[in-house]
Formats: sequence, C-alpha cells, structure tokens
Amino acid sequence: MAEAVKAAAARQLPAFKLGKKQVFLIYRPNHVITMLRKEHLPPNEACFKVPLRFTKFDLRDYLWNLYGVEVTTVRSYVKQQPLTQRSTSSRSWYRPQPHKIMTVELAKPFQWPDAPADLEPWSNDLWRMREETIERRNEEQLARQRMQIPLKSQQPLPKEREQLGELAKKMLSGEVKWENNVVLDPKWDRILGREKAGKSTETTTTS
Amino acid sequence: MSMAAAPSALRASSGCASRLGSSLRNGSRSNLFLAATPSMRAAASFSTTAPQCKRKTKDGNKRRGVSSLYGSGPREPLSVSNAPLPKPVEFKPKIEVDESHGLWGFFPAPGKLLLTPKETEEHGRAWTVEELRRKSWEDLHALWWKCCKERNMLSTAREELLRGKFGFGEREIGARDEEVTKTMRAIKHALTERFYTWQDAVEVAKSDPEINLEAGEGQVYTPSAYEEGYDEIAAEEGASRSTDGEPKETLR
Repeated sequence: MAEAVKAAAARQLPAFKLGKKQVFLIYRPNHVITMLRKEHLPPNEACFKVPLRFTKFDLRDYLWNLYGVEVTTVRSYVKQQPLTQRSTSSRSWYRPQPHKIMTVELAKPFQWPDAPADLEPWSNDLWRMREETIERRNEEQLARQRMQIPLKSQQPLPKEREQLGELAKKMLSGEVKWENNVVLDPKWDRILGREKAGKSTETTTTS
Repeated sequence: MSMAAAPSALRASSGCASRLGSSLRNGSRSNLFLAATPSMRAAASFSTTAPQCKRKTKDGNKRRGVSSLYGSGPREPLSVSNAPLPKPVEFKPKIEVDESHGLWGFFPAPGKLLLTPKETEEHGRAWTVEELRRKSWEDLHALWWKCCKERNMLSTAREELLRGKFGFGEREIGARDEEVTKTMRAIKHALTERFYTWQDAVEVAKSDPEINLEAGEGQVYTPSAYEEGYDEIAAEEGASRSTDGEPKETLR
C-alpha cells in the first residue's frame, strides 16, 4: 500500500504541503473521524467530528492520505458538552469531554446521499413505540421526584370504573334490572313485604 | 402629517400623533382617529411642515430608543413600512457526485447512506495474531488503514442513525466495530512481537563472530571460511550423525 500511496502522490500532489512524519511507524494512529451531516452547509463544505488532539493540519493530511480528498481550508471549533448526571440514582454531576468539530472546504464538491425511504429494516415502528414508553416513564418519574403526584380525581378513570358507571346509568334509566338470584330468608318478607310482592311479579315477568 | 397609517404602523403613528397634540390644537382628538372617512379627511388639518413631525428627544439623537437587537424598529413609519420584505430564495444546488469521490469512503457504498442492521451483521471474525504473524509489513500497514476507514464508516453510520431516528441498529454497529478493533489489536500484537524478535536478534548478532554491526552498508555479514565447504560438512554430518555445533550456529 505504501508504494501505491507514493505512486499516487507522485502522480498528483495536493495544493498544500504534505506532512512528512511516518505516523504508522511510530504511533499506530487509531483515531475515529465521523462525518456529520449539516444541512446548512453548501456542497463544497464538509463537517467532521475529530478527536480533541487533532489539528487542522492533521485532518487535512488525514483526508488526503486516507481518502484522497483535497481540502483547501479547515475551520474548527470545540463544542462544550452540557453537565451530565453520572447515573439517575446518584447526585454526582460531571462535564463530559467536549467535541472538536472541523469544517473543511473541498476542492471537489460533495452531496450527501438521501435518507432511506423505507425504514422497515430498522424496525422503526417498534423502536418509536419503545422510545415513547421510555419517555413517558421518565416524565412520570420526574414528576414523582418533584412531588407532583396527581390526585386520584385528576387521573383518568380506569376501565372497570367506566364500565361500572355505564352500568349504573343504565340501571337508573331502567334499561337493566338488578338481580342477584338470592332466595331471601322468610323473615325479610315482613320488612319488605310490599316491595317483595312487586319484585316477585317483575322477576316472574323477566324470567 | 399622513393620516392614513397602515395597521402595522398604527402604534408608532398614534404615538407620534400624541406627541404632536399641541401642534394640532384646532383639530379634536376624535378627528385624528376617524380620519379614514373621506368627509372627515377633508376637514382634518393637514400639515407638511417637516420640523413639526420631528421627534423630540432629550439629546436630539434620531436613533434614541431604536435597537436592532431587541427588534424595536424605527419609531416612525417609513415610506417602505407597508412593503413586505423580500425573502431569500430557497436555493440549494443539487450537484452530481461521481463515484470516485473520496468522501464516499465514509459510507458503505457510493450513494448509500448506511447499512441496514442485517447487512451490518454480515461480517466475518477478526484476524487473529497467528494469521497476522506471517504477513509482511506492507500487508499489516494496509490492513490497519482499512480498519481505520471501516471504523470511520461505522461511526458516521451510527451518528446518522441517531440523528435521523431511523430505529434499531446501534448494537449491530457496535458489534462490528468491536470486531474491527480486535483486528487492530492483533496487528499491534504481531508487530510488537516482531520488534522483540528483532531486539533479540540484535543481541545474538553482537556475540556472533561473523557479524560486525559497526561495519558499513553491505559489509555487516562476513562469512568465515567454512561457508564454502558447508555442503560437504552437512553431507558428512548426515552420513556420520556427528554432533557438531558449528552448522547449527549458522542456521540460527
């Protein structure tokens, strides 16, 4: 590969001065460079997330030697990260390492490929359902931590209670008659003598 | 003073009118706000005297209270206040990228954004140290940079997966990345072993009478006389099975 790279360099050199250090011989560089999609950038610019120690010259030579991409200008900034909790249970907070973002101007313009239209291979529906569930649970927990426990009266009614309410409405309107098919003790006849007489007639009609 | 103020500029114009209240003593206040009817417009006093329209500020600063930061705008309606501002055209040049562009190296294939989880899973195992020991420096060098490119591609895919909220697939990317990392670790292992072997060889060469490390290029190895008769000695050794240490010394 070294011969191939040398041959390529001899064939066509970039407009800038290349570095001469043999990095693989000494350092075995294992940096991970991430290309970022930035909608606001024109096609002749590309954005990368690089390790914090990277310099502009590093990225310029890296892109040339590894990808054969010629770069005219490099701009860089370090993006501070927000304070983060170590875990939800602990009260320990820390500031994560910042990201270094570099924007390069390309000699040849580049257009990002379109996002896939069909998200079925990624099980998008299932994933979205899971995300929603997680978010709802997190919100509930946050509300509980803030002692914002909703009152029983403000919570939505459970299904059984709704069914019970509907049944009660039907009974009040006379649509459904109450009946538990229990034979009462004869001593109750004296207490609800008249009503029992009426009821017995009704039950006979219904049954 | 113009009476037909636009609704958007009503606040400013009414403020201006209240400030000019003293100069419009002959016209009543109701006159000011009913000026839209044509009959009243004829009756309203009209003045084109510029100094009377001028804002009175404490230090004569025309721009007092006007801030571009807070979007306060000018205090008086201007001649262009009613004209809608021109909007920049939504123009994004769509360019054709040929397949030989180097930045396609950050993607699985030219024109393809990222692999599906199933495609990501379709990879082999990492190279083992035993396999890499017999590879040349050039091979290991090339494989190392291939691994770097693969990791860059996977990292870009992960970033895009999270940004676009496509769904599952992060675990598969992580597993593939781990496999590439194992290969890189094996390359380091093989090269470190090779370095230690070289160090040992240098130590042995120092005690070897046939090797002079201080000599110049091409004169390090000075074989002694028995090198010419090596074949005969070996033949004799094979015939007699004698335990002679000298040939073994040269073989080491």
